[in-house]
Amino acid sequence: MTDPDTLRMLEEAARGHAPFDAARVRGWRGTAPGFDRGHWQAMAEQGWLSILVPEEAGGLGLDLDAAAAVATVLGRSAAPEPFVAAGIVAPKLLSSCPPSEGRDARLARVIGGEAIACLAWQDVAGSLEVGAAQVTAASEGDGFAIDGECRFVPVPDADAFLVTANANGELALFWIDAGTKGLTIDRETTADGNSQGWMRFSGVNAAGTACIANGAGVEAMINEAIDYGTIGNCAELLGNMERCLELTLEYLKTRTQFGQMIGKFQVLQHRAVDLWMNKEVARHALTASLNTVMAPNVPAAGRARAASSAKARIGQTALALANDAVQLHGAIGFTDEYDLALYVNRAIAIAPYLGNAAEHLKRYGELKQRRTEAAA
Amino acid sequence: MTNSETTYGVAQKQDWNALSDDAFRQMIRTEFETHFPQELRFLPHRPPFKLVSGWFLRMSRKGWIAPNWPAEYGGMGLSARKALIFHEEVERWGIPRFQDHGIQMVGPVLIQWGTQEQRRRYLPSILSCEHIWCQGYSEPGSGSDLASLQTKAVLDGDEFVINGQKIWTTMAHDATHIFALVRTDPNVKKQEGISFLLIDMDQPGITVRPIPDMSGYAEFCEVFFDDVRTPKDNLVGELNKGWTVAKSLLGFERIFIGSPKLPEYALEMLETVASARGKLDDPVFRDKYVRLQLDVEHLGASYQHYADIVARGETLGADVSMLKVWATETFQRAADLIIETAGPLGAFKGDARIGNVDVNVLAPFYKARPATIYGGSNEIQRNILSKAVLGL
Repeated sequence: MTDPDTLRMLEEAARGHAPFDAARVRGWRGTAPGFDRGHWQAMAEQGWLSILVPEEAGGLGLDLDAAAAVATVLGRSAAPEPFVAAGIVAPKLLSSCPPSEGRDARLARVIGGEAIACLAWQDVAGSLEVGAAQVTAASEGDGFAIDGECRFVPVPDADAFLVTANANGELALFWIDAGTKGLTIDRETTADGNSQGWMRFSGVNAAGTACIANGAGVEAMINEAIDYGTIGNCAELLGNMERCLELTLEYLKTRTQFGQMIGKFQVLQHRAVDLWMNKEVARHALTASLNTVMAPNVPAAGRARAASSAKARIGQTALALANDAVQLHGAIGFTDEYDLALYVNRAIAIAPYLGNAAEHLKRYGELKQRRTEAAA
Repeated sequence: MTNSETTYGVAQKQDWNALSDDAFRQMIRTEFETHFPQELRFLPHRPPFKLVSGWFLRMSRKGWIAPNWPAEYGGMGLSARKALIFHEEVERWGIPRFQDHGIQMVGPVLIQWGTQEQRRRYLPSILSCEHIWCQGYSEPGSGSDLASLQTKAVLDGDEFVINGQKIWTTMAHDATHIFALVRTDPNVKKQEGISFLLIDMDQPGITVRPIPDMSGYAEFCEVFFDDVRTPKDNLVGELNKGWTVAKSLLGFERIFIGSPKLPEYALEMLETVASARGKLDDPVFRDKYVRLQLDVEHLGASYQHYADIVARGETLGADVSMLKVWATETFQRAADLIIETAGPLGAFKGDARIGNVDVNVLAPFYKARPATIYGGSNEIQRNILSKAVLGL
């Protein structure tokens, strides 16, 4: 757990460095890479990309609550930068890989902002089982030949991809640089004007050192990074919810109809209270999950349950809040030129990341049941 | 020492606040688990005093009857943090609430607003369980709009003469005394003409009529006042300042109503019913069940947020109203799902055989149903949140 003073300072710094800028957010829509590398560099300089990296590996050595605090601020500003994918999941995963000269150099580049890396692990159908991706790595000389495809890759313009592959019958993790021969990436546009990658590997040659982790423990390591990313994603969605609610409340206090501000109508007041209440429950759910995950020696199932618990709640309420925010605004809320649209589309784009609310509700139920059966 | 002439309850054996939270919790838990009668756990209704008198007299003799009062007045002198633990253990073990009108309401009011004479006269009898109090607030024409109350008190020499009617007075038929909000000045803004009076119920002119609720049990009553008299010394706080006195009761106890224990208990019952009816793997049931588990878990997370505020010794804000709303609505969903899952047994009143267990399928429903109405209806809570938190 990060000490409260550090947490507060980090949050204040984040608010200072990443204010909401509608023109900026609009400007990156539909572009490649869809976000600002300059901003990314600034985030690296703030240390945000190394929050979860231990001090001995050159990071800040802080805990997930610190990364979550930054994600919430970025959610508040509808920032297009892929902080959760490339600033939480990738550094966390690389930190868990066995140290080596290659690993250390790559991690340094990632947290320094020079290389943006993201995990590529899902199959074409979007399974949430690690290892489901139809990617194989066959030994070939000193290296590997990689074939297959994976989809829903969050940063198609990343400099490198952390690819899960079946290497001679066991799960392994590869570092594959963008632009490697035989690798093609197609974009699929998301609601916020950003995009995801559909990667196809056709005889991609990877050196032996590209395999950065294999054998027992790889799956657990990846699952841990995914759980961290899930909670980071919840934190970003929470920031999004906060702003949707703030915009709505401002509007209810400004807009007049029938001779009074519409926020004086009880039916709207009660709806606004329900939005606020759902946001509060989401916030408390996130805190509870963070506390579970940050507790010493938390078992993998407990961590997974905490991540799913948060996402089942927040994935659902974020979208519901975005919808209701539009309704409470009326027609203006449905326009592209009003800023609410940026938040609504961002929420839609990021809510399915690493599993949407329904998928996590199912996993939460299964994990609860497993725990009950174990206790019986 | 100001109270040297009066003995309030029994002396406390030690400073309970000096114990660690865990040690304190364990001590309370051991006492409850060892001595609270098994057959009285999780009663579907508020029991009459005589049913639970053995337990409360035991608590009284131990000096544990008033956990929240200062030790100098015969309470346990618990900090908010320890009082919360005490309350959590009461709920966890399904023990009826501790004489809540006397212990939670009148006692703290007299300690804050009462005269020394009032404290001496009333506090010892609350501690000994000799006096059982009820709360006369609501009236037929004054529910959510409580400040519009009309029951009148007129000073006649050294006594107030009271006329009017209270309603929804919980357990009035089991009480010896009533504290009431009465109108003492009809000519000012409605909140400014109300006084807080203590009234002995054992006198002519008071008529109590229990009102059976839809479960068939009578927890609340109508109380009629027909030239009822009470000494003017029984005015608490200043004349016409009763609204302020009543509002001061809204302390950290407000989080009690948001405790996750009742919904957790309902979830356990739901699982029992579902298991007995072979529904645990039914996908339609599971979807609702898992959503409910999530709601209860996050009620716990929300409760913890406010419990932490209390434990730090900070004051709760108006936002705590969300806890009541979330807790009671979650409890109702659980109660409704129990009925649905029980299928044909959902029609049965009282214990019914399901598989090889007896379950009172409707008990949570009858407990949960009024929870969104009493203590400030959830609509009133939403009004409060809208105004005080959202600024609408």
